[in-house]
Amino acid sequence: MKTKSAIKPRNSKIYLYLLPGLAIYAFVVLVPLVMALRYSFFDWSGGPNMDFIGLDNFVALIQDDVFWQSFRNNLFIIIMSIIGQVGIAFLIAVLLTRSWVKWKQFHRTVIFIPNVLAAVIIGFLWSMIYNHDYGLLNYSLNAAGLESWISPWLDDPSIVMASVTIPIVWQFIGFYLIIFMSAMQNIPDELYEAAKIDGATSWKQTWHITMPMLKSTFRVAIMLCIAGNMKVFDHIFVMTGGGPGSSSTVMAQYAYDVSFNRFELGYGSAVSIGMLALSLGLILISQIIGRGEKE
Amino acid sequence: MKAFILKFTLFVAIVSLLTACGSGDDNATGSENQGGDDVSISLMHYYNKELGEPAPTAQLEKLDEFAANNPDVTINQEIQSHDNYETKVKTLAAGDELPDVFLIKGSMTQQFLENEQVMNLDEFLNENDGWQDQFIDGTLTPFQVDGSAYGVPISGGATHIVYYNQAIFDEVGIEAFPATWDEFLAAIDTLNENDVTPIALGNKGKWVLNSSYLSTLGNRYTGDEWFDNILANNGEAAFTDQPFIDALSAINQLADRDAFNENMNSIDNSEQQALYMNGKAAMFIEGDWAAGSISSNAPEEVLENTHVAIFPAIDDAGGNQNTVSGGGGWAYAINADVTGEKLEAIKDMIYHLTNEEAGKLILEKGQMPAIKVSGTEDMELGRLTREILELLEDNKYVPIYDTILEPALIEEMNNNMQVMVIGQVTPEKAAENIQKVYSK
Repeated sequence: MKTKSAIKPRNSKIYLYLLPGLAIYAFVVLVPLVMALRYSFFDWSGGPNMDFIGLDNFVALIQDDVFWQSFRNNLFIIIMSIIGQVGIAFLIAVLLTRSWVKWKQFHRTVIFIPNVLAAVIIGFLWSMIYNHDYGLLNYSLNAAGLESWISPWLDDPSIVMASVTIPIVWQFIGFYLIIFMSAMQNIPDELYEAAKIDGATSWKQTWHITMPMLKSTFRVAIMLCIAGNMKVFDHIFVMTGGGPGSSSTVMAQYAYDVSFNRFELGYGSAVSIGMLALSLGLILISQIIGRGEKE
Repeated sequence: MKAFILKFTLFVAIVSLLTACGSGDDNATGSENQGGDDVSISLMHYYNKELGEPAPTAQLEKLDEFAANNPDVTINQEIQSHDNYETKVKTLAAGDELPDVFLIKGSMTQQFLENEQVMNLDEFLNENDGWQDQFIDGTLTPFQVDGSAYGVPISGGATHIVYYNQAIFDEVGIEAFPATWDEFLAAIDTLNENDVTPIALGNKGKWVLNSSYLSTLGNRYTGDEWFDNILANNGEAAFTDQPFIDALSAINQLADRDAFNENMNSIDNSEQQALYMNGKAAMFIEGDWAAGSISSNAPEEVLENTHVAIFPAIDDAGGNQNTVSGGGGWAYAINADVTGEKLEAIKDMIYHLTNEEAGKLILEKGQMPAIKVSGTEDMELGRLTREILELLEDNKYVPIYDTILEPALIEEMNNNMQVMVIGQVTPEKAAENIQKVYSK
């Protein structure tokens, strides 16, 4: 009996093992979430005075231009990341399976390195690169004779979103690369062998074997991309602080500004709840689209 | 089964440990400490010895002195970095867990008072002979609500000082600092023609344009009464009033003439100082605190040629022209829950930190104290500090917008100014946006 239960423990025991983790998770995620939901119904600036105002915060939220602008900024980052992170990572993963590519280990490690750096470091690094007077980017453009391309990369509202998105995309390519590479190893070699016998070129193999076999991986990667980029904050906070004006403000930054600069904690909670609802909505949509393709 | 019990107890122990952490500091602000001989005071501040900033260093020295003189009083200091401090104090206020003594900014006064978290200090300020009257005019104002004070200010300098490099001025043929606004604009054109950035601006933190530019210019155009009306919210003043739009336009005028470096919104105030210290810019505009970092960090030839001024008089502006935005920056506040012997000890401590002696030390270190200091002629002061002191003698302090107005309004102002200087909104539109938040 005993040996059997060690291999397949009773349900109650499984829950018991899960409990410590769940307790911590509940403490740092679920409890604050419920509290934020509660605060979002109040006019509250911190301290003991709280006025219940029902749904007023949410009514204000729906009419808040800055909130929707920051949502559009998040969408921009998500779309660029799906193209940039997932797309480029897939291309590199395919390249790294080619036999003519040398130093595969080295490439994989180098591409993965930005991933382990703190977002704040990435932010500082790129604000130095973007610096108008002594930044690497403008210096290189100057050296290459492209003076007319020199811009204040983080100061022009029309390009600032692109400028802050590039470091985010750059940092996480390695993460998706690892996901794709491990998924590719699970594709049976027989398929490629059969294709080779049929005379398929390597790009045809990629298109007709690798891509379809990785469909579920793509779905997971896109979901991670959406979830990760809805809460993006640190990079932009360091590089521009949401400026100029609110042109590079994302939702998390806006929630932070409202809560800790303006000190409207009730409304700040409403912004966070709005952020959660929109994230869940986007993930749901991406799942439905993914499922539709399967059929 | 035995193993199960063991695991279960272990688990219960871990969980109870976790929850204990959550509720550990419930009585951190309690006032149970009465009666005993030994008093312990909790104090939160942002003074960092390593940074060597004038006023904070002076405060730390005075704190040590007070601790040495009062062995029965224990001061538990919690030290935050300046940027974190503001968030931390607001967060503690939200959780109603403020320490006994803490620092507040003018804009926090109203909110802390509404939540009954700060003590009325009127009596305290009158306990020591004439102490209240020793504070420089305007330094207590940000911490007053309905005529009562809730904070004791420490330093009280100007947030608007123009630091300029005379050597660069000489090079391009500007003999003296411009005496009128038109000459100032002409000087900017001259500097631009000579490929020197006229004014280094680092407005990434968004407060520079507000604290160091708009607060002074605003008063020059609108006069004092307008701002009082704005504060009283009596409907007699609005941000869409022409004088305020003119003040915004004055900043816009500077931006239109390319007075600033192109990347003004992506560098911060220490980087604007760096531009100036590297000799790339002829001027920069910041508070008197910048004198300290210029004196200790600028290369010899820049420091030697650095002088200070304020915006020249503006011809068609309606207010007083010899004004500088300034007054109390941060002030000591006492937790409303503190009573008894502990309160007495706290009062002694705050008096020790903010009396004339303490003011003298702050001045010696190179910053303007909130309290009047007599006999400055005989003191050994840095050249820049003395120049600023003399400059401020002839000029009157007017309110610093972003230490007094509500945070939501400030945020709107700051954001609008950031996009105004890069030509995204007009001054009229910016004023409209600000008014929209104000009238909410």
